[in-house]
Amino acid sequence: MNKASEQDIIRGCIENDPKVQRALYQRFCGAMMGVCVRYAPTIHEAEDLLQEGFIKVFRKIHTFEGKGYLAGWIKRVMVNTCLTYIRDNKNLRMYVEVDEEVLKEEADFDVLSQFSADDLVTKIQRLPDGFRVVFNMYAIEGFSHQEIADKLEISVGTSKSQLSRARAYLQKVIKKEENQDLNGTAVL
Amino acid sequence: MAQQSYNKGPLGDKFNDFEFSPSNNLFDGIQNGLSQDPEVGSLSDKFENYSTKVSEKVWVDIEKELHPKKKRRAIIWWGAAAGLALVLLLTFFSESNYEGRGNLTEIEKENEIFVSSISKAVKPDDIAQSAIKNSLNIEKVENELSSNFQIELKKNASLPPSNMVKQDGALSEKELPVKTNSILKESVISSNNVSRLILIEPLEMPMVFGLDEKIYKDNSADLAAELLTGFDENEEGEYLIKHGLSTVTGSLFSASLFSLLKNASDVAEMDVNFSNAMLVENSTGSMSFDNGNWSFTQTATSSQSFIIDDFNTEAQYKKYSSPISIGALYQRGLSTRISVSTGLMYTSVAFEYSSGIWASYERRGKERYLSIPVNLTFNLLKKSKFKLFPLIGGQVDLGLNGEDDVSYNVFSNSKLKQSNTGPQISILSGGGLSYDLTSRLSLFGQSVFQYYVSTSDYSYFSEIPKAISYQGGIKFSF
Repeated sequence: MNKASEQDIIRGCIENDPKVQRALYQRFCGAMMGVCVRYAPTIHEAEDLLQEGFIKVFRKIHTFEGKGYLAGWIKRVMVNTCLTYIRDNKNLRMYVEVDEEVLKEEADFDVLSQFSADDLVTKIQRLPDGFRVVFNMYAIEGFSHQEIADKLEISVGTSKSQLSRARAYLQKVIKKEENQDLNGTAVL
Repeated sequence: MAQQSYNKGPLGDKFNDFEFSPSNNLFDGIQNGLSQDPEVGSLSDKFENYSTKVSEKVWVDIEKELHPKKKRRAIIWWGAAAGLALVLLLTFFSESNYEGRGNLTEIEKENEIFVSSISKAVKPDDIAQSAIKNSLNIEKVENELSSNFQIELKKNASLPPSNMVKQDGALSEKELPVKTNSILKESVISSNNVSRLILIEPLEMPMVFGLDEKIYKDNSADLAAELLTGFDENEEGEYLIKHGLSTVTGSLFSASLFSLLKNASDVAEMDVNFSNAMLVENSTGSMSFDNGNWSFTQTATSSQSFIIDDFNTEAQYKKYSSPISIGALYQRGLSTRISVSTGLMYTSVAFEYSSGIWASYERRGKERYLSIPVNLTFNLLKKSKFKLFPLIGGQVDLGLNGEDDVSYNVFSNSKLKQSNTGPQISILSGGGLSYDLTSRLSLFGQSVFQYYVSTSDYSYFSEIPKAISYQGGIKFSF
């Protein structure tokens, strides 16, 4: 979407034109759903977040000053919507009982980089809430631990420990899946 | 950190102790950038252009949130339609009575015509030039009239007991077994070689009545007049004419020796008996024909009354069953909630009349139609495979052959085939329930209130223009 057409769409959305709103939605809904599914534990909740996020976009689009790209602005709105939801969600657990053996294992992102985005989403969705959020914010969105702490209203230490645990947890999950695949192959 | 040596400029000393405090965020960003694992960056890259499928429902919900007015508008429209349907329904129930349609007084009010003046005279030639003049060819009569009436003409039929219609005056007892009771849908006409009985459409009657006389327009009078003018003077017999559902009833006129006036120059005087059955009185007078014009002089008003209830009354028992339709409809969605449907339906209606006034009289009729509805339906509620929907629309009914089974006096049952050729058009509203058999096929049942804005003559719907119909069948959705 070039700047000129972007301006037309922004103007149409400010004028509350349903056709233009739909065009904007169709342009970005897939990518924004890709954001939401990383934060939400289920597709259903991801769709709820997507809906809430786009309603905010349409209602606040007049505040977009044209600095940077519209896509980036929409993504920030969407991530903030997800974070607000997570922060306000009473069931969000930052501390999850995990097998301590899991945490002792050396975990890094090297293993994860071999997977496709779809596979990663599947794995990320299996993480406990606290792990998933911090992992997303740090490893994918690029937030610092300080920013994560501010946004989620937790301490920097908590953010670091959640990330560490998330890495280890993912490592364990991947190993487990590999073993299952090997066993499956042997049987075959 | 080792001290860096460099040449100072003229202002260099001013900045020896200068410190600029960067924001914490700047340092965090640098720290984050330095500490970021290269693998983390690659993960982020993987999601740079990542997108995934989204359910259509999300946009539908967003649109509802952004543009709720449309929804409210739709609710207002449907609410108004439902309210209108309710009003029509209440009107229907308050005005219509399936078990008999009001009493005689109501019929009078509907049909009475006050005659303020009589301006048109009828000459004998007017009637003599009738389409069926000088003919007693029953087949021809039937052919002539079948386009407007269902007619059965029986010679030598038994007429009602004459004592019920006995007249004063010069006329014989046989001259008045005339019955024009459109409620019973019967006309009985008598003729013999002594006199003629003429029924003339009241407004054209060349007689002067009192201004407050009530005259009841009667289509059957026209029919009877035409038939009688064709009688041979020497023909004997009694005739029963049965025609379809005329809606007005009442006046009864008789004149004797009418057929003796052959030429416009004839001068004749004859006894005339006028009886308005509604008024419970007879008028007897003489009618003269001179130089092509009729005049009437009333000579007496009889004190003898008709037994009104016996002479001219409606069927005691009338029953109209609700129309029932079955068929197949094709439905196409206009939006997520609104659909348009049309198709073919087979509609059946039935009615029964009976009366013990003259003798046993029973009539059972059935009419059948090929119906083509066009409806707008609104999916109000959906629960599992069931859908609840209100609808509005219209329907065209094309007449198919029906049945008319009449039993009258000593006659054995006579069966007539009814044919309603004209299309009948109605507007309708109502509601129904459907059950999805598959994603495209469903069973449905609906009840609709129909108001017939256009009907063919003498049909069920001309009698009952407001009807509640029950419809059902299969619906195909695409």
